[in-house]
Amino acid sequence: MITTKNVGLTIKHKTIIDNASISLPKGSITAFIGKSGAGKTSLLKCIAQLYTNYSGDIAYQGVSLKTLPPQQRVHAIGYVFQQFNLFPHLTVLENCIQPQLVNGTSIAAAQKKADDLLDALDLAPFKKSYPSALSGGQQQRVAIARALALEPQVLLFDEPSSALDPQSTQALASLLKNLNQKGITIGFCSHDVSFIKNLLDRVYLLENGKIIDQYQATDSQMPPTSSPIGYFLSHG
Amino acid sequence: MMFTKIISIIHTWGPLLIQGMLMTMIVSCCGLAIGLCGGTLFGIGSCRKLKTLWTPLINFYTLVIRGTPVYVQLLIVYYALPELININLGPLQAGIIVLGFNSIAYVAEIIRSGINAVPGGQWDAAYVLGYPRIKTLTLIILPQAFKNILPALINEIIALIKESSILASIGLLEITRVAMNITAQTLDPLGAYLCVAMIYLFLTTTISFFAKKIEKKMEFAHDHN
Repeated sequence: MITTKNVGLTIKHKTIIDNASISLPKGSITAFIGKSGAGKTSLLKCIAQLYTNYSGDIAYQGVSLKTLPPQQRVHAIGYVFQQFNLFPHLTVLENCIQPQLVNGTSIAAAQKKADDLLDALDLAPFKKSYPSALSGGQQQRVAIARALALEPQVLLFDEPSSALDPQSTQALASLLKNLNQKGITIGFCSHDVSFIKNLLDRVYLLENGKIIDQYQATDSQMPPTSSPIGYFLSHG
Repeated sequence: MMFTKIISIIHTWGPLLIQGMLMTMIVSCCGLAIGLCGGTLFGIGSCRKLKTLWTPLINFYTLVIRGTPVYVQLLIVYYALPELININLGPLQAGIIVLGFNSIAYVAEIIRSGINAVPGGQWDAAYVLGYPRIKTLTLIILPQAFKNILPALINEIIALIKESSILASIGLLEITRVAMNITAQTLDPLGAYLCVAMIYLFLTTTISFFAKKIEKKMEFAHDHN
């Protein structure tokens, strides 16, 4: 579904990503793991086209993302930020409706979609609240609802468990599995070992901007500890 | 004694004072309209995320306007400009141009800093959600920036009203000039100037009052709901 070919990113003469070739097959859950500063978030930002000055190519279903018009891009890739980046001057409901209106959905359809998503994510009582009145976990669910409102095929998460308590982290893992079962391809970066283990499917390990190991889980089996990914997951 | 003087001035010169106050309001409103429109465009054009080819020119404009006294700018526009480009401006036109173009520089700085203060993540979120640049600005960035810059904008409006008093020096019959004329006839500066000070105070306090109401309303909507 998404493939990157020899992607490189240099910012202020510093190499952030070095020759990264990865793929996010349809229906998969792909984790990008590594220590802080390894380049995980930057790689996700390249895929989401938040960085466009990368070398190499990133393609969605064979089409280079750089050439994809914004209206098609938003239906291809959704992105949930580490800090959620909800719009603070809009209510929860408006946060979910406005992006749809901007992308050409009718008011009635946008309203219905937002209502359905917020109900499904247990956010119905907060529809008229502003984001500042919500907890971290609730804000994250609003961010997920906002992203899902545009019906993306691939949903990317930047450090999704970093602002959550253990209970909310568990709930988030279940939510991601649920979304994945509904056909949404998931990609996320994290260094939270227990969260990664919970969603073990496809894993890429990054170090200094390079992909140094990759792993495809079968029956949720852990990688051998002799491999770099196995070592990372057992030692954190 | 002072109070009776003010009452007597109002009683005798009331219509002229009202006429002066209206002229002050007209020139301030026109200047403000130019300042807000131009300043918003200049502020957007010079913010960090939207740097354009015009940005150095905008920066130079604000540097010159903010670095020179508004009184000198008025003298240049009213006395020197007609010689330079052979256009004669009346006191009202010159006054509006000077106040407006002076205000543009200050409003631009306020808007620019307000936009720059909105976290970069808001631009990123709008981008991944497919907002075009113009909608990102109008629907996401400016509403957030406006809340932060409202006190500074109100200060600018108040400063502009007070600065309009320098237009008395080119003969515009605004409130300060009216007081000068009254003083010339009564030979009593205290009553006329105190009266005028009270009118300025009334205008600026009214604006502050409504500004605080708007500020409170916005705070409630964003922070406590």
